[in-house]
Amino acid sequence: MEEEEVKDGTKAEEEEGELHLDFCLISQAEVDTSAQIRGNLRSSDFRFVQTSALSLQILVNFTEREGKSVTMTEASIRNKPGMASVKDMPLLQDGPPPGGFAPVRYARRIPSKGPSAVAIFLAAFGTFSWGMYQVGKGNKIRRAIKEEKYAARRAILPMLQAEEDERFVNEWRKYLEEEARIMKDVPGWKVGESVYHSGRWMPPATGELRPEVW
Amino acid sequence: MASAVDAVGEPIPTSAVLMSASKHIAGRCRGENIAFLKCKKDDPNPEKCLDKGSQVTRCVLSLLKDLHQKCTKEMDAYAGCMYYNTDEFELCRKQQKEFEKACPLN
Repeated sequence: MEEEEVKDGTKAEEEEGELHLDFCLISQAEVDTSAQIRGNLRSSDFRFVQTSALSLQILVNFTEREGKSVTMTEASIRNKPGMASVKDMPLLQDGPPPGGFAPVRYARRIPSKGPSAVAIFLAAFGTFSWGMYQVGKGNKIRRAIKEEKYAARRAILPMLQAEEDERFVNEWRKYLEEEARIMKDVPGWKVGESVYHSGRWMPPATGELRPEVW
Repeated sequence: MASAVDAVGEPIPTSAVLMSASKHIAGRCRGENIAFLKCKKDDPNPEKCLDKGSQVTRCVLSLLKDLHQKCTKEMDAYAGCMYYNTDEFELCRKQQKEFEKACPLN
């Protein structure tokens, strides 16, 4: 296919041993004069040409067809003998390999082996019961530890109370003496009289702070 | 706390010493303890239960002195461990076992 092309201004450059192809439009006149480029083309260079043939149109010389230079167009690449027009070109598409792909299984195959429902339930129930048994054992141990502490406290309680009683009685007697001294001139005053009428002994509720005790 | 005994050599009834000897007290001073608690339950007035209280005090102090004389080192170790661990029995099992081996609970 010969086409009227307009020179773009960019040219294919030649380097030692390889050809650098640019996207360019070269006029037919230039094509004829660049014999050096022609001579240096190798088959590996056509890779770049063919992959971009779908999107770009690169016009490159090659001297294979009947000894004269032909422009490389889509029609010359995807040629089919007996092709009447461009519309009859064979399709260039990505597709399956010849014979098609291997069959792919997509049906589900969930196996029905493994423990039954009863077995799972018994395992869960067994684990739970064993765990609760361990909890009970631990609680017994903890209760024994607490019981030891409470028994020790119960054992020394009377000793502590007796000591405190002795100290309190001495303090209380001193307090009563002080009260008697203060209230000796008040008629009808009973020293140390309880302020309650119940008859029970109540601890003194003076509300005083005693830092030497606390 | 420097030691469990005062200047004369009698054990001071601190909480650590009392807790370490608690099992012995529960065994040997049982009668006095129960009598004192009964008296207290009837009348909480301290002046009324002074005599029973002094019995309790006497029993416990003599027991402590006796224990200290019989197994000084073990009792000191046990009371020291209790003092350090604020009266936690679980943390002083070793000293407790040695103390009860030296001075059995009978």
